Amino acid sequence: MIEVDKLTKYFGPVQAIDRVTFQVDKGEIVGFLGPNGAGKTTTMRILTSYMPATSGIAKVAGYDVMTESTDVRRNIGYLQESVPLYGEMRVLEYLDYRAKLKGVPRGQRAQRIGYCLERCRLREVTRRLIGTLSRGYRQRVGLADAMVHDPPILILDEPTAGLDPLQIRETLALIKELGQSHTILLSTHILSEVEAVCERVIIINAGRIGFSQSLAEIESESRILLEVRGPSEQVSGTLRGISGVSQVKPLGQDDGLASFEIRTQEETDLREAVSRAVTDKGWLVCRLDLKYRRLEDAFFDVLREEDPLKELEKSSEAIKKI
Amino acid sequence: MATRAIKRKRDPGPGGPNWAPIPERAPSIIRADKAIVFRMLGMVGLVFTAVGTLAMAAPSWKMNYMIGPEWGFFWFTIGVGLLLFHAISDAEIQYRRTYGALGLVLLFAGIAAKVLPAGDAGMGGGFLAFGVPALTLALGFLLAVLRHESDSFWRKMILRIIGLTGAAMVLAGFLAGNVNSNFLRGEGLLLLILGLFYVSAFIAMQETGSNTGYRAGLALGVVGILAFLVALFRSLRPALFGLPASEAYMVPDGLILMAMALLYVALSLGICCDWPVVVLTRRELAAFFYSPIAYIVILGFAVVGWLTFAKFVGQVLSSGPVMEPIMARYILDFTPVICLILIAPVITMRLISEEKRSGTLEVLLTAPVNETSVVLSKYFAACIFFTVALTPWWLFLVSLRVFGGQPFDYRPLLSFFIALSCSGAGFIGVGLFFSSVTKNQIIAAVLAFAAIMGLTVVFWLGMDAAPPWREIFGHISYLDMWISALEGQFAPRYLLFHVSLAVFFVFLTIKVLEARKWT
Repeated sequence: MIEVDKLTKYFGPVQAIDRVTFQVDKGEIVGFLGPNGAGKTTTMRILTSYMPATSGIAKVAGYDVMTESTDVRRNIGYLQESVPLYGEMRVLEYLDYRAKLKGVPRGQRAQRIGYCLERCRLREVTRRLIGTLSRGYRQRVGLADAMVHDPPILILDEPTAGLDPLQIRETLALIKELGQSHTILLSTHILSEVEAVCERVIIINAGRIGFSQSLAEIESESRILLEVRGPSEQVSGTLRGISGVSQVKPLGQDDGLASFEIRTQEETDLREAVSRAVTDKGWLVCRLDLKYRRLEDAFFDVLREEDPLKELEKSSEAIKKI
Repeated sequence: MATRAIKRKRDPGPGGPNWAPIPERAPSIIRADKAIVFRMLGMVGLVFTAVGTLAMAAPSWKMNYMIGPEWGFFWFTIGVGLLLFHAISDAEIQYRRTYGALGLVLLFAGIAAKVLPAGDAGMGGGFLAFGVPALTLALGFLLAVLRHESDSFWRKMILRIIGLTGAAMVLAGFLAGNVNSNFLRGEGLLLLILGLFYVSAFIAMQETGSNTGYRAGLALGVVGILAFLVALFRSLRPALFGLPASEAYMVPDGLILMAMALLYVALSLGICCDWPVVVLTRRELAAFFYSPIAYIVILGFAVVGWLTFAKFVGQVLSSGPVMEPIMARYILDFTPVICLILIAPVITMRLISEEKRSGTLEVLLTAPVNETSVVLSKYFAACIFFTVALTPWWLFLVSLRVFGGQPFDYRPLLSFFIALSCSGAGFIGVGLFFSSVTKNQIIAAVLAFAAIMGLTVVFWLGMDAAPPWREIFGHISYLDMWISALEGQFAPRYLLFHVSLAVFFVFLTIKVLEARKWT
């Protein structure tokens, strides 16, 4: 439903995103992660055709965001990060106006608005001025607006920012439910939310896609942490000999205790095999621990990668030298 | 040696099986207002109304009262204003019902003034002097009451009465207006306007998304179209069938009917149509009235109009018989012209700059609407508001005609209205453009004002310019155009510059909004 190919955007001299390429299939819920200023909002703005890209192609629901902008906008619901709303309108009045603007037919309007009010838990504030509502309620109004015309694609920029714990839960449940029939791209900084609702994550750093994997794939990359009382080199040799082990990383030796991190090839639990191999040689196992790789680890790994900006500087310096 | 596959137990996430739903609660309770201040104001208003009524009634009872009838009218107006204010702000049931009853009494009194045979025959007897104000006030009070009315029986009843009265006025206005042209020029026109207010109030007070409002809107449109066609046919009849000029119908009857019919159609379109341009225009118009700007501008115009009118009447009375067109003296004074120049930047300054600053422009432009509809809707809304803000000026002239009892040549006003609309369209286009280039309302207003001042200066430049320039400046200067229009000369070629100014700047504004997509 969303296809992005080598999208690049410059704001004057500032490169906001650099050859971003990813894809979101129909019915997927994809988390779009990255540190502040990584280019998430810029990418989303390009996808909603509010801004053009400097180069590259983005297609939403099969329509090009540059040339078929109206069709793109008809098929998306977009929740902005800062949720700008008309403060002088009342909640119901605003949703009615937006529903009309987005072409919800007259007969279905009341029902659609009612559904959004119900699901975003806005029933009690329909008559209040938006300007007097708290940040969390404004967020809910923004979400209700994004889904009022029942678009097949939802692009949500930090949908849970500023919500209370109950509302976060309700919103995530709503997103999960919508995800059965809709395609959702959402950005957030709260990784546990992504783990709770998303099937796949895209991590972007300094304008580049650092990572795009499904959560199941991330979790399958588990590691075994091992501490053995024994000679480090020999133990690691033995460990490498176990079938299924892909990588053994010695973590140092302290007080006769050698620590290792073992990565496995498949989604198999090798703890028993490791234990047997070590004890067979007469060494003692002091710690044997299976560590799941979490989203957080993946996120920090992306940030730890060689700084793309430095690379760029290096190359430009090299060019200068020539 | 490998054993089981790794399967991490995942958090069931939100909405898991053990999740008990929590009912939604309002974030805060809303306490009923203790309307003490409003009640005191209402009390004061009641006293003022009583004093004013007595002062106005005293002469007809051959009694002397401490204040004259003119000041009586003044106090009466203020008193009624305060009472209306109280009615709008106090939701207490006793006051609500009292004001509701007052509104209904006024309504029936107004109808009675129309239906019952009038004793003293003026223009339409007692209806113009008493009926129309009573009906207007009745609508004000009933709307104020409806705002708070929670009882569905009362609500429905009052709404139905408003709707039926409005429908009756509209039909009477169009039907009788087609038969009797004397009726049309005074009473009929007022009936058509009042009827429009009543029907609009009826529609506006319906529940959101109800079918009744939609059907009423459609009916309004149908009536408007029919009335327009009839008036158009009757206006063109002399030309089509070669009848003598004495059968001429177009000015003013045909024009009045067609203008009113078009107003009805426009309103119906605004209610029933869901084109993005119409939806946006509706919101933009409402946005004027959400902010205090609209009220300040209308009040300011009313006050300026009043002062100018008082001065004008004083001049006319003191100087004895005056030459037509006397209207030029009313409009072409220092204050009204300055006012007309100032209003365009004030109306247009916030149109786009505010949306840019608050970020709502992004929300607007990520909805499936194109830049053209956004800009056009803002432009139309500003033009409509400009026209509305000027109504007090024309109302003063109605009172001149009705109470002065002297007919005057109104035709210069028609040409002036067209000239004013064209130059106003140009001003608003300029203002809209400057609003789109900045995020700051003040900068937008100042730039627009400077541009309009530039157009004004051309008037003096043109006065002592050499021949070819004189002609050129004559086309550019809107003051020249106003003067010639008020003198009864009306040359469409002078409108050209102003209309093209409007088109050009609206086009530029669209391009400014589209420019964010240029790479």
